Amino acid sequence: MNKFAIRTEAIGKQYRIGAAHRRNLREALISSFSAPKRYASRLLMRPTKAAEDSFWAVRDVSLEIRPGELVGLVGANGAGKSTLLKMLSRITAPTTGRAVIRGRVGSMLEVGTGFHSELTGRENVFLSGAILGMSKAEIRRRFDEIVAFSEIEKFIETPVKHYSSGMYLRLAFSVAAHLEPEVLFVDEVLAVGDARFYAKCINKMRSLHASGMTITLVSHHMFLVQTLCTRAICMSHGGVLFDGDPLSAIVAYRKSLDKAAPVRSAAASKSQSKRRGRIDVFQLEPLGEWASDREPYPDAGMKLTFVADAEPNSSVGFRVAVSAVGGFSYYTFYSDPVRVPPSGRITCELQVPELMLLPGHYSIFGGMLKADEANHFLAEEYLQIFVRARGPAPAFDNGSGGSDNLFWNRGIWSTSGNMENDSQIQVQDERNCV
Amino acid sequence: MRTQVKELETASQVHASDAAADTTPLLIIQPLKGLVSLQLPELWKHREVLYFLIWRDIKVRYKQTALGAAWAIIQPLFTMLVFSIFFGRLAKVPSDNLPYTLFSYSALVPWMFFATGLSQASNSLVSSSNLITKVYFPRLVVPMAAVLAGLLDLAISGVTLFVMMAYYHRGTTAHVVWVPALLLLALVTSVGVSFWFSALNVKYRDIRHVLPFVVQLWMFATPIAYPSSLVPEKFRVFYALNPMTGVIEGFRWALLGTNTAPGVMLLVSSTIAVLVLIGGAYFFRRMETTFADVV
Repeated sequence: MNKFAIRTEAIGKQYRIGAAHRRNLREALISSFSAPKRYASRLLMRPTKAAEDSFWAVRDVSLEIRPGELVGLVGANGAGKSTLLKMLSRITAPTTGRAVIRGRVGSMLEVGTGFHSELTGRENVFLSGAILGMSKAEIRRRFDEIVAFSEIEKFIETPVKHYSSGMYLRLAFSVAAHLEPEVLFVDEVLAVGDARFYAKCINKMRSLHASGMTITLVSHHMFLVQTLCTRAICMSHGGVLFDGDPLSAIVAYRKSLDKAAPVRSAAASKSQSKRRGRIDVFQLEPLGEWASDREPYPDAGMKLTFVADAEPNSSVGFRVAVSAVGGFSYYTFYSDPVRVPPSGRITCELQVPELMLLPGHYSIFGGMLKADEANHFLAEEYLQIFVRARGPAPAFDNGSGGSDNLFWNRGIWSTSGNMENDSQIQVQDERNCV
Repeated sequence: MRTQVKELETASQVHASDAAADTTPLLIIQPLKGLVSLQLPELWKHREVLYFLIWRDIKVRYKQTALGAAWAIIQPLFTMLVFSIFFGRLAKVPSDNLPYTLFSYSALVPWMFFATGLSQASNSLVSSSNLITKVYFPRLVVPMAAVLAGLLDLAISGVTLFVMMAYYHRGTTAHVVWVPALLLLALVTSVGVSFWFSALNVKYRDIRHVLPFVVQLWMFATPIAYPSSLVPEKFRVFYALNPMTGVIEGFRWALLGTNTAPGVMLLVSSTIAVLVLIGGAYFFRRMETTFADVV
């Protein structure tokens, strides 16, 4: 079926580098007298052939995104992610190729687009909403919802210049989050507010996605890409490096980073890790009975060990999340804040007595973060496991939603009636499913 | 590096193979070859953005000023005082049989609307760079909003003009019905010139420095401090090339009954103004696609 929400055909954007072509008015005037023809062709802006002083921010990107997909765009700085979003949201024009978008487009490339500091919260909701593409009637209809989401009802009549930065960002995000386009572009704006509001933003994204919206978002937050997106595209040097499932895209991204990173001396890399933090070991050990070293049974457990370097005497936290490869997160473990010993080396262990997962592929995320910053990860690692059914079990794939169930759990039945098949009670936990 | 963005009525027009029942509009983004279009339907679709930008400019203009909207009166009033002292009293410039204060103020009301609008609008794109680099809407609304926001000031200073006329016991004439048309001409001129200047200002910030001179020279090329009867007959046609001449002369004629009925002059003025507006709009659209990259 030839159905798409976004299709790009060899789209590309070329920029000129440096000041060589940034002419001032005098030069433009002089050259318009001396070489009218050349100036005219400059004005018409035909792509110039001499390309020594130019570079392609995006080159020959051909993609097709289907309606309802939630696509993550990952890649190093300068890979062309934002330029691609800017072309698709019509802020800047492509140099070559073309794109076709089906449906109403909304973009959230910045938090607080159109906000004016002198105006009150209420006034800014209307102003920003209109600029982002909502009609006045639409804003009026959803006004209460927007304000309730931002949780700043009390200050809605106060000029936003008196807001704290958190309040400002929350209100701004709320406006943007209540756009109702069919195709939405989001550029690294989700990490606003505190941990609780962040979770709220992510849930909002999930519900927009669930409502059928096609979302393309740029993020450097791999955990988010992995847990939220149904598909991810890794960009590098203006082109597409990988396009597919989020986890593989993240792996491609990490590899591209390693390749791009300049070779550092041991001393330099040590000082780097002292400043930012690094997970040296993220190890998975079986608890209970496993089929192999990466294949637990649903009722088996696991032990995860972190060995990490962080700034001595700083306070860090650890986080482990178990999610489907398709992105859905099943559960997350949060550690209490831990003080890093003076040596800078810290070890941390997490035991999960029972996985309670249905058979299928899962990804385990391990992250270390600063204790006082909700989503500032110092380091992240990933592991993959494949949960195996015990004995013959109906085959299904949790990624594509073959089952209505989310978890496996142990159940023990007892009844005052007569069970038709007595053995069913005993085999219950082996037949799995809730 | 220009984009052509068009919305086709149905998907099936583009891909015959697509389901014919699909009526979702398709948005096509591509570099454009040939002539740009003005995209007037697109502009109309975004009229609420224009409305909100005007509303914002008006709301913000006199925020945190002690005198507030009084500034709308103070500016032309003080200019009038200066003119009255130097041109009226000292230089004894003729004033079409009107009190010189009324003569100059009646011209300053439309002139201030024009000049303030032009200055605000020419810088409007640069000062809203945060919008231009982050969200799409037809950029033409930005300078338009800046000029239109001056309408409130115009209304306030207009009321003052009527107060002044009452003070001098000057009734108005039946020609007063022409006033809206003349103000429209001032508006068209201001918007038209702003299209050129604001688009150029994005790429060449020289405009910001040139603008005050342009506005000042323009003021003296317009019969504000003196009547156009001082201009020799043979230069009149060239003089009328300045659309603001027609506006000011016509304004005095319609409101105060001077014998400066613009006639042919107004025809020339209007033609020029419309040409500047259309040319400006096309020029603006042509420059528009690089705004986000150079602003």
